[in-house]
Amino acid sequence: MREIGRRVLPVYLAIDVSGSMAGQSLASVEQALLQFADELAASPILGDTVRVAIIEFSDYPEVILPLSDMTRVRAIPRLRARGATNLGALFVFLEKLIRSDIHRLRGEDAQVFRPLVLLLTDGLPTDNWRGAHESFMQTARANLIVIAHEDVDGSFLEQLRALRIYRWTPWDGPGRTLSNVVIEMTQSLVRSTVVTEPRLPNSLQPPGPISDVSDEWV
Amino acid sequence: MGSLSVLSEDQLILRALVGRGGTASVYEVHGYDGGMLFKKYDQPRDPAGMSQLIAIMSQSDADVQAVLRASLAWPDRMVTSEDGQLSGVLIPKARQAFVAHLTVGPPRLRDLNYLLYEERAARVGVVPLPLVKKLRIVTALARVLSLLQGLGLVYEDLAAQNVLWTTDPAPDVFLLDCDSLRKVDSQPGDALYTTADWTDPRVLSGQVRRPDHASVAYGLGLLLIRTLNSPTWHPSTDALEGIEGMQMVPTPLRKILAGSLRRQLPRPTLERWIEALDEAIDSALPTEVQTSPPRVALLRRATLGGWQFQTKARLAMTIGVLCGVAAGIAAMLAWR
Repeated sequence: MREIGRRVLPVYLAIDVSGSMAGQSLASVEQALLQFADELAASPILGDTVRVAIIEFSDYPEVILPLSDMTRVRAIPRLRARGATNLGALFVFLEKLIRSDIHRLRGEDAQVFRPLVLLLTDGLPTDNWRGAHESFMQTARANLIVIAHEDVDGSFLEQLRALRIYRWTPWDGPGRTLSNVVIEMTQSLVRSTVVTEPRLPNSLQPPGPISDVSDEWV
Repeated sequence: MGSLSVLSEDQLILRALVGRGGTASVYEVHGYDGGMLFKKYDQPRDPAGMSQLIAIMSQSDADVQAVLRASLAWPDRMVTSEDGQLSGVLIPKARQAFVAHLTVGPPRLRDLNYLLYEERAARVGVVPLPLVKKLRIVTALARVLSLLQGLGLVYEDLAAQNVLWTTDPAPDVFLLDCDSLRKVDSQPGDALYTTADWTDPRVLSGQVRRPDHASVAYGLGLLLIRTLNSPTWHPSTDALEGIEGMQMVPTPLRKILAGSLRRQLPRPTLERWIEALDEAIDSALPTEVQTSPPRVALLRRATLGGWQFQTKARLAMTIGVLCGVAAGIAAMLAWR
């Protein structure tokens, strides 16, 4: 489906599928993905604007859903637990993927919002990720949101320089938090925002409503 | 704040969160099942504007009150936090007629986005409307906005997500977000909240501090063109560009639409809008009937055939009676 003339918010859901996520955690994430698809279908303006890619990562990243109109996807691919948590490989991959998608969207004359990357993880990375992360932050120009297990070390999360960080507990499961966050973020596209107060550049914005995030072009 | 119109937040038992906006959350409230919701602000508000709105309602005559209650989520009572600041308001729930039961997820408020993106809306069970019904919905909206204007009020955030619609039993609208109502001659201290893609360019460029009556005409123009241009319209489409190539806009509305979407003044009044909409509905009605040619043709032939049959039957009956009379006279003469 071509996106001629549309406004598009690319959303990249990067899901940690390392061995520790097996079982209930991944099942709840799959449930959240279905719920998100329903939300996009039920809200025509969001369905028209939001495009979603799903990337699972462990030893290596893999796109299981390329950037798509999720309301037209017949089935959401299943997530498969395997391997370790190689975050560096994910950031390298995301940087290339986002660049490629934005190039394609611009070629279709779409107006592209600053991409949103939601990174869901339950543990510390098992590789040397810092260089890839730095390059990603400098060139991808995406807004990074992290959803991490409550036990994940806070100092590591700070180093990710995410716009916002959310925690999930085994009690809630990652799916519920993911669902709440992604729906909250995307719904801000259709909310009223302040127009009479000066706006700070995004880099100076405190963590706040997603309107600070999405209302920017790349 | 008048004591009769003020409740303490302590007195409310909040139940489910039913909605979340840019500046507030909306909750069901225990004991108000009959139709009141609590709109709780993220930040305390200046109570002056809200007091004015509650006073306007109480000072209006019964007919106006009835229309306002049926057409807007008009604030019923102010709610204060422990420190006495305005923390929210009680607002009426939209009637069930404004709720859409979709094929996915829970029921939702049927806002104008379901008309703007009608192909997507149809996929979840919201049937696209014919032109005349769309025009009647816009007319209902124009009448509500005109009533507000008559009360000296302006609705600042006129946008698709703030306008609910129904066609059952008749085309009608219900405006959400009572915080968008302001006395047009006031200069409130609260920040202005509007929706991307729906804001008057005069406000965005700083020519005026707050939306005014001309801004409402601009918003109405956007709503009309975006409703009629569904499903091909997208927010990036320049409004005026859209008019040139758009066949869906009835002729009586084209001039007023172009006038409303101007970046500068003057713009048409709401009275002029209502006249043009009425004219457009009248002109669209026969057009819509003609869009079903087989039915019209059949109806016409049947009607014409019926008249012809009746004429012939009457003629035959008259001839028959005359023949009968003549035969009777001839028989009588022969008998003699």
